[in-house]
Amino acid sequence: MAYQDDIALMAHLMRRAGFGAGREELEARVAKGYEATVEELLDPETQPPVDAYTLLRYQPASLLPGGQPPMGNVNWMYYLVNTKRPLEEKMALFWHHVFATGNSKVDNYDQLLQQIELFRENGMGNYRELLVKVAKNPTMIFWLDNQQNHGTAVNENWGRELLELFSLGAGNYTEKDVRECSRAFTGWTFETKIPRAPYGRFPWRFEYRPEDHDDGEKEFLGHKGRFNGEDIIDIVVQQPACGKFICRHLYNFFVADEPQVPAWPIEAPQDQKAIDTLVGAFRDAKFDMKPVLRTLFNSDFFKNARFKHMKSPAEVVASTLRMVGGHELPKPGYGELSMQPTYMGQDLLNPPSVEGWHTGKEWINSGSLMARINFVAEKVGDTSLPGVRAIIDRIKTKGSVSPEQLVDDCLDLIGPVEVGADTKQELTSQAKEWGQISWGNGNADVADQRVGQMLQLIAATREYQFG
Amino acid sequence: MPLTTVAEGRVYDWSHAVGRNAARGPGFNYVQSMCLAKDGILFATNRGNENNFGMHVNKVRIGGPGEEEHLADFCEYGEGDGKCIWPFGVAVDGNDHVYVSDDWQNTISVFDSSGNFQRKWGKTGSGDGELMHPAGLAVEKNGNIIVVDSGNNRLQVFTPDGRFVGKCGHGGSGDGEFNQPWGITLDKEGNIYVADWKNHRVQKLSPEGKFLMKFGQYGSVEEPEGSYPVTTFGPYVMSGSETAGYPKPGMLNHPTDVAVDPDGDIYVTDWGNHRVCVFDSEGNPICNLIGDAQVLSKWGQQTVDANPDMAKARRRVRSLEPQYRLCFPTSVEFDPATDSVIVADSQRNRLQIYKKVRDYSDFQANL
Amino acid sequence: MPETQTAQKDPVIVVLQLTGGNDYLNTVIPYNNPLYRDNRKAVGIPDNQIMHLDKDYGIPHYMAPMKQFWDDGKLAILHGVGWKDSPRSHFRAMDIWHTCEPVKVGTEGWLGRVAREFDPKKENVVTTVSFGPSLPRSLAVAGVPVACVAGPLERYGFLPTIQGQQRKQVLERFAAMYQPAIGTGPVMDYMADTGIDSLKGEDILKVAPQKYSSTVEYPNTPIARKLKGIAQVHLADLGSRIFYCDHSTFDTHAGQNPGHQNLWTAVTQGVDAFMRDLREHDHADNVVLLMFSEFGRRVRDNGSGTDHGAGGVAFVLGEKVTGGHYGEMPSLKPEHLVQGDLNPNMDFRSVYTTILDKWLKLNPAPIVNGTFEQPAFLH
Repeated sequence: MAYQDDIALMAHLMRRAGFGAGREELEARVAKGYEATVEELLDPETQPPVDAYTLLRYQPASLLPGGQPPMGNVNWMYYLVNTKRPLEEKMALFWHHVFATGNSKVDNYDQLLQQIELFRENGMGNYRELLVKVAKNPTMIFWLDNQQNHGTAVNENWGRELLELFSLGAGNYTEKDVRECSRAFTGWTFETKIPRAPYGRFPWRFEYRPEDHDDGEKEFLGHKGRFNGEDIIDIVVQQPACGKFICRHLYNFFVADEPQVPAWPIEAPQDQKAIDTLVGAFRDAKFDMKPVLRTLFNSDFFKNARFKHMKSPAEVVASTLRMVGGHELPKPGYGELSMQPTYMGQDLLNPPSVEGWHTGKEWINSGSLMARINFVAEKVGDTSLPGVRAIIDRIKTKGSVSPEQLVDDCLDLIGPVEVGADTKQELTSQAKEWGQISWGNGNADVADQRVGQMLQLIAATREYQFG
Repeated sequence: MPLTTVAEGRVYDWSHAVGRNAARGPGFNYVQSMCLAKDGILFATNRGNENNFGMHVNKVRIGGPGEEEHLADFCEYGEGDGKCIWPFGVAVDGNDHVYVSDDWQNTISVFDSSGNFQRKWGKTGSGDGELMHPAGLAVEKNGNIIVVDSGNNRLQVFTPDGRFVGKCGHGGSGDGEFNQPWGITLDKEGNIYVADWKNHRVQKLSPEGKFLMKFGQYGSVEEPEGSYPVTTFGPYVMSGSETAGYPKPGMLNHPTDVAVDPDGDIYVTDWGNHRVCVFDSEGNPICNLIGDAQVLSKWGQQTVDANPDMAKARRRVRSLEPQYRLCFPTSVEFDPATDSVIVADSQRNRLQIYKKVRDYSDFQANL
Repeated sequence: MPETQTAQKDPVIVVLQLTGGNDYLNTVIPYNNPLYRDNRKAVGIPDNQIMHLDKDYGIPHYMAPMKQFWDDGKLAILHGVGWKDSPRSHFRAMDIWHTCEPVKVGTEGWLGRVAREFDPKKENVVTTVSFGPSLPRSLAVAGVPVACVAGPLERYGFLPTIQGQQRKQVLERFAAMYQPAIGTGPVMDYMADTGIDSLKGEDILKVAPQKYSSTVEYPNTPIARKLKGIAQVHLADLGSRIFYCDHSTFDTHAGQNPGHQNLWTAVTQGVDAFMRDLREHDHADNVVLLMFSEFGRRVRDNGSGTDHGAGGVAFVLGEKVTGGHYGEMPSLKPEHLVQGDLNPNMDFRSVYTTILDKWLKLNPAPIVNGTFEQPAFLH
């Protein structure tokens, strides 16, 4: 039993810190140990990067995909499916939730992918450095109109969101702070870009124009000086509100669903002690993300939070594809595959607004529930896929299984997934309709199918929507 | 930014560009390979994408500057006869028949020179005569077709109607072994040159498939400080330097294709390093061509003329140099009739054409 | 009784989105205007392939079914639609059409707001039916249900890969598993409700293809299949009021002439079959069809196609529509173009406003975020 619990805990870690893992990988990781696995996840450079050249050989259009889906989505989906550095990719997704930037305005998947690459490279680094890089990221500048933030005419869009959505949260600054913060970022813009016609797209480049910068004195969060943008960021990260805000985001993303961000100023966190622990680590590490993540994954509050997080569509799709296998190489149809999160309500690289996606139960509506269940069911029901075969082969070694065993084995090997008693009873009733499943006597095809159908039914449960 | 590249007794002079970004009609859509037929006619396979489904083969007359002419699109996206999912390799035989490999369906389709479907063959697998992700194609003097059977890491020879004749090579990094090879060319003696993509080298084999020589080794550059990265994977443009953003000569990063000129000089599209590397016949590096498209192609100019906002923006940018440079070149051909090196500049959806100038006399230094 | 029932039927709106930026000038052709020929050297429609609507405008021959609607006075052509400072980006432009928010990034779709007005208590889970895998932003309002039919209507529902005898049984298990249980918490309860709602929608929509019979044959194109699905649901009288579908891609940068021809042949033949089908079943009177695209295309062609432009054209079609031209085509004179584009002279929200006010009988202003002129194509 203890070993089974180790597997379940490792599965939990891999679901949260990555995009799930098959049984063989879980067994290997359990052999290596929990903390050692956390360390490996925190040190992505020990694993090879995704082979982008293979992607570009088969799908060259995913390098500079322009403004139309799905080639930008193809690019990211390839990384999500293939990465051997799952936490690096998960952190890129995390920061995409926080620094939500969308194609609906940017009209340029090239730039959005480049921003994701920025998150990949810096997502586990220092948060202060990341904020500076984001402030200089032309995609973000355009998204929040900072190229129109002039010394002579202030545009507050970036200045406001920096404080409200990217660092402190509403209620932790005044309107005057927004104004002063925005003034400090005047002159942060980008060069005129080489236009897309006739040879395709070229990237933007950050440009600081001192002549457009308001160099006057500012008064910001109790500090006075002729602040420029980086000075503002230095002040921001020192605010107690900053650590609380970022750590609550981490908690919501990695541990358990919190209310939506706009409710945070009103509703207290469900586990204040956990947030305090993370904030302490954040402060002690001088805003380095790695020690915070180490604290998080090794904490009891994390280990005890199994299935307290509604899987986001990106998690659903990436983890399913990784589990069933056979989707490692780009192939025709990868475009449609990479749009699956969109159909479930998470249009990657195109969040609905700068507030990002509403998470938790808000992922679920009648359309999205059907989309996610049907997608997973189609994949886990395809008994030709290697990951599904691996599940079948493990059960098959028993030669023949009872209805109860079939349910238990499927729940175990697709997760392990924990379901309520009522759900389990329904699954078992269905299995009883099929009776004893046996691979002998030319029944192998039927037996395979039954496993596939049971996996589909499990994928359709409410419990399976949690990770 | 010189247009003329001079090195060790050779001069390459940039001539012109052909093409623009277009899913069909005049222009290209991610050329994977190309081949030269008679009279300056060129066939190119386009990979397209899953939005425009611009996968097809196009037939283009290159001509001189401003003379480019679109002649036909064929082998469009699809599964039936005369269609391809992912057209990849292309070659023309002595009867002007065009052979196209399909990277996905593992077939070779044959068309006449107007693009009318003739026949196809090939099936999926790793046995004799079976294919897995077929890439480059070449036609031997006797009319047989050599297929770079990339997924099986070997070359296979077929008669024009698809009968298996022979094979050589297998997976690995030793002599005569391959790792996902891409393009292929033959010299006038029938020696075989293969761009051994994942082994970052070119291998030369005898007409019988015996290993003769290899050259090139893996090398790439980190993004230099202060450079302009055209994409996340380069090229890195350093204004005022033609070398700063590129690795040393002789280094290769996922080479995709090879061409040999009548003098024996060898041209390699160094895909991941965004350049064409010129080697002598012994495989010694001579010089690199990095792309010099300072003048728009005819079709490119048409697009700019139709879009006043693009024209305006072009006049405002600090430097157009990033647009001159090759970006993931996939294919190279040498046209002996015009002494031209023709490079498929895949991400820029154009060809860049250099002249190999034989009678180049230097000018006076005090002009 | 049937007649009065028909007369009292609630008005229905069908939206057909022409995704990608339809080329206005090759759709409603100002065939006498020399500037049309000057600018359209490569993609101009030859005179002998234009069907004249009147002395000024024609449509390309491949839109032939539209001519009949026009002659019957049931086709309204809305000229020069768009808005000031229209962006040349597909997404931004489409978003603006969907949310009626040209300045900031909007979050509520205009048709989602309509659905909320129609069914504030969410009593009918199929008030809105969209044919396509993803939810268009115009339908998206938090809490407003939309039935998204991704594939054929016959296969709409949970676990479509399980068919045959197994299916009924498995769906019963599903329903049982989604019964709210005591003590599982509000999120599980919410999911239970949602799952049961979706099952209900599946049960309701399943009826439509079963009940359907028609002599009308639809062409075998994606858009005709979607329109047939709409006809099936509409004819089944399930209380659906809003239907959405799209066809793409009108983004004809290259090889425009064959491409545009294929697109409009499919659309007009599909629409023709759709309207005939509704008429055959005496279900046409309460339907209005709106066709729009996010923008028009550049006036001057690029030698093979046309690039992103501004002012475009929209069509409204139906038995109760007063056919004719509304507004006028913006000038093609170089001095009147904006960045080489037709300058829009009818705000797209005007089109919505007439539909909302005169057809759906709703107060337009809160839905389209303002008050706009009403072209009188409906009364």
